[in-house]
Amino acid sequence: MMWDYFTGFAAVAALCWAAGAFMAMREKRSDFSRAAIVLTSAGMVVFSAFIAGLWISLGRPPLRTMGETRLWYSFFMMISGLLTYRWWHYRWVLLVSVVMTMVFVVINILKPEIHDQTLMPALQSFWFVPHVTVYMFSYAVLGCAFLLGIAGWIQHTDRYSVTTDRLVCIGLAFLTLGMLSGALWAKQAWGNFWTWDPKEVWAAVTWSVYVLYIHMRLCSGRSTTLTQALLVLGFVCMQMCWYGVNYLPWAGESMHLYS
Amino acid sequence: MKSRRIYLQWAVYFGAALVCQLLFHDFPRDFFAFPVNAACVLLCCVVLWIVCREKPQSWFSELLSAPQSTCLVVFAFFLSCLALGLGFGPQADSWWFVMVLAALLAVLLYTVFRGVSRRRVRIRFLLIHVGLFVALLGGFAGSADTQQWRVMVPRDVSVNEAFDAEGGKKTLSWSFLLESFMIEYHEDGVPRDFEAVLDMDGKQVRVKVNHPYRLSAADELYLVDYEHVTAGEQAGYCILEIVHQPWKYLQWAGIWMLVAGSVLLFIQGIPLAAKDRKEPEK
Repeated sequence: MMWDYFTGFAAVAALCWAAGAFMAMREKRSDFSRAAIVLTSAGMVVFSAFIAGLWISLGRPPLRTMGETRLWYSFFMMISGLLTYRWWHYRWVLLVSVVMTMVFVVINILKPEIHDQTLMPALQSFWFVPHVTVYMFSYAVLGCAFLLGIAGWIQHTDRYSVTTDRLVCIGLAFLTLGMLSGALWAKQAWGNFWTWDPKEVWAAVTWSVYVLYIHMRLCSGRSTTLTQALLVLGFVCMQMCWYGVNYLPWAGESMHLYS
Repeated sequence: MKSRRIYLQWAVYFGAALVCQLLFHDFPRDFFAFPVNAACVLLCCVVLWIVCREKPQSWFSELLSAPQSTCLVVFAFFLSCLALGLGFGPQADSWWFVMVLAALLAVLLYTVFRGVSRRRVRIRFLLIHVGLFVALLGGFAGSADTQQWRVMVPRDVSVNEAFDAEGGKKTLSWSFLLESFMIEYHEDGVPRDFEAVLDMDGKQVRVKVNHPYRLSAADELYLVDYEHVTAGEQAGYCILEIVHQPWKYLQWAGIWMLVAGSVLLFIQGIPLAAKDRKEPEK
């Protein structure tokens, strides 16, 4: 089974990413290191080859179980880290992205969960792939915004605020698209656009935190401890929405249980 | 001073919401069924438009247009959802939740009115704010007109009686008979796909998950369950749900406007830092 090769693919990708992060940290002269970009991209090619192979071997999009969504999160986290590095040239952002990605890769190695071919009828929809991948991409971009928020908080500076704002705008745009595609799918599958299901409630919580961040930044125009704290709060709520909601006592009431 | 007054006014509003919640618990949703909901929406739109155009200096206008109000109302929405998510908050049909949503809609509508009054109207701004308002309004005002009934359809006899969640009975305009029920299985015995073929007033109708059947402009038919049988056996009955949702077109329009607005938000971004901004967006 394709999943048995995950550790090998992940190890090669991790080596490329670690080498890329090392090159980025080492580069002092130019804005960005070409070697870092090439190495990180090579790691992503290896990782995406595994995802493509898993997709083919399962005969369905690998987006159903929590382990499969972690796979996409790791992939998108590296994409957002690479784009943030390429556009804004923070030398450390690749290293932090690799560490964060590796946390989810290691969880997947230790707890791979079920990766069988079954795909229940409710998930056989046009909306399945866009809904989940768009969400995972927004989670990864907002994860990067969280890292910059933490950096600004620790260093007591707002020098990352322009980058953070851009990332939050991109992340919120994709988060909203994820919610809206979910609403359109829910209408098709269950008859209602929105039912205040536990997963939907936490999606609304996460979304409102980032909307609040944007409006607070529009109000004050400068980054404050409060707006940086909102990035941390948003990230925590996002984790709740993604998998934390499954551990709540009323998780069984949710219609979003597929794994 | 102005900020303090605005916070005080919102404190009075949310205090009233809390009192209503403690005294009355659930919001009387059925009272706001059509045409009451439509009249209320129209009245609010007209009043806010008049306030925006004729009384822009009034306290009410200042309250709805203040940036602090937007942050405060979004924060109240966040807190309400958080409490709901943690399981100790008022439900979505409670007085508290309804009043928070009403405040959010009022601030949103006033923002739209102020936006369109400007000389230069930003398309992204309009799509996001109008789209969100229309989508929320469709769900909020339309919830009183939304009805769901379930009907168990057997193979041997045609049925036209359905039941709502409280057990209330309703005679439908259509009658259904289950002609056949097809189930495909994965190798491990988990259903891969299922489909009900129905006789609806002499017409053959097919319903499956993710593929509802449109009964009328406001009504759709969903397959929600069936008699669970082992592979090779035929299900004896299926359960259908009829969803009556006349305001769905408003929600649908709002959602697609918001989709377009989100795409523009991704492409253009918003200059949030003061030094990058020529004029405040809201």
